Amino acid sequence: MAGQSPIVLPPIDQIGLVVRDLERTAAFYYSTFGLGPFSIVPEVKFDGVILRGRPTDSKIKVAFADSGSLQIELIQPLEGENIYAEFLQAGREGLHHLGFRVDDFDGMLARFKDRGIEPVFWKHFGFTAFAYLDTAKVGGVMAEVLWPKERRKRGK
Amino acid sequence: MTKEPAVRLPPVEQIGIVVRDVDQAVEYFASTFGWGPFKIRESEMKRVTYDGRTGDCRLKMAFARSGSVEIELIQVLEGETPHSDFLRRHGEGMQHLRFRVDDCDGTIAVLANEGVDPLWHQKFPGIAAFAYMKADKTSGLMVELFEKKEPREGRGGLA
Repeated sequence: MAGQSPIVLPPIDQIGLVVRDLERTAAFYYSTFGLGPFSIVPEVKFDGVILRGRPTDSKIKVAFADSGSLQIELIQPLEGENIYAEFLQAGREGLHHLGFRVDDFDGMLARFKDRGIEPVFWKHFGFTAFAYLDTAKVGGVMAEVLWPKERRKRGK
Repeated sequence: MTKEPAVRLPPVEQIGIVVRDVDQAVEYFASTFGWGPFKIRESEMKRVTYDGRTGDCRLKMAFARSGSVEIELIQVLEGETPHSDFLRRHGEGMQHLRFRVDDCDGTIAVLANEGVDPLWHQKFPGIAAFAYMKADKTSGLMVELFEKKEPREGRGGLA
């Protein structure tokens, strides 16, 4: 809307891809491109995550690797409803979202809401929070807002 | 045992986003993501090889930075490119990640041995080369290889 000051997201922290076979993809990216090695989390439970206003339970598999200062995240939906399963069901695979880490999670969501941009899939767990936003209407890029600002260190 | 990678690409240097209208996208990303200011330019490319066929194209592009990566917005004005294909199939969105290489041809040859073939590529001899690699074996990820010769110091030397 005219007159509103712009939303300024911090630099991109994460590039997220949704894939059908995470283990195969992680192995292939490393052996072919030297991207990785990925550290794999075989199962993450997403209980009570809000999918367009409705709580859902789902399970995913995730993997992380660094590419310079960026984090590459691979996600494979395992069961239940979520935006990743929807992406695959739509016949897509590959680049899915950009992740931005912020200090003020609620404040950032409120700023998007002021512009009519709602969270599509989100949850605040207390110690961490994420929200995928409906930012893809122009330009097709889904933004994920993540909290806290600092990435959690992962063991190898 | 894990074998040594066929190539070791450096960190991602660019995220390529296909859009319908660069001007509209620039305005949106500036107000909603805080990206910009964007540098906008048009580019005409002659005889680019796309999936075995050769043709001309005209693109409108916009560039901005987000931390360590460049954001590239791409609108196809004329011709058939991977971007026009992407737009038809999926609509607007993130289409490729670009990685800098020293030797584009050499990297293409090594990746071909791994089953990853070039889809759209061109050389600008002595200046630059790029290759978008096919995404059928890469779980949908389109990798762009980009080689750029740094300009020579001093005056002259342009043959």
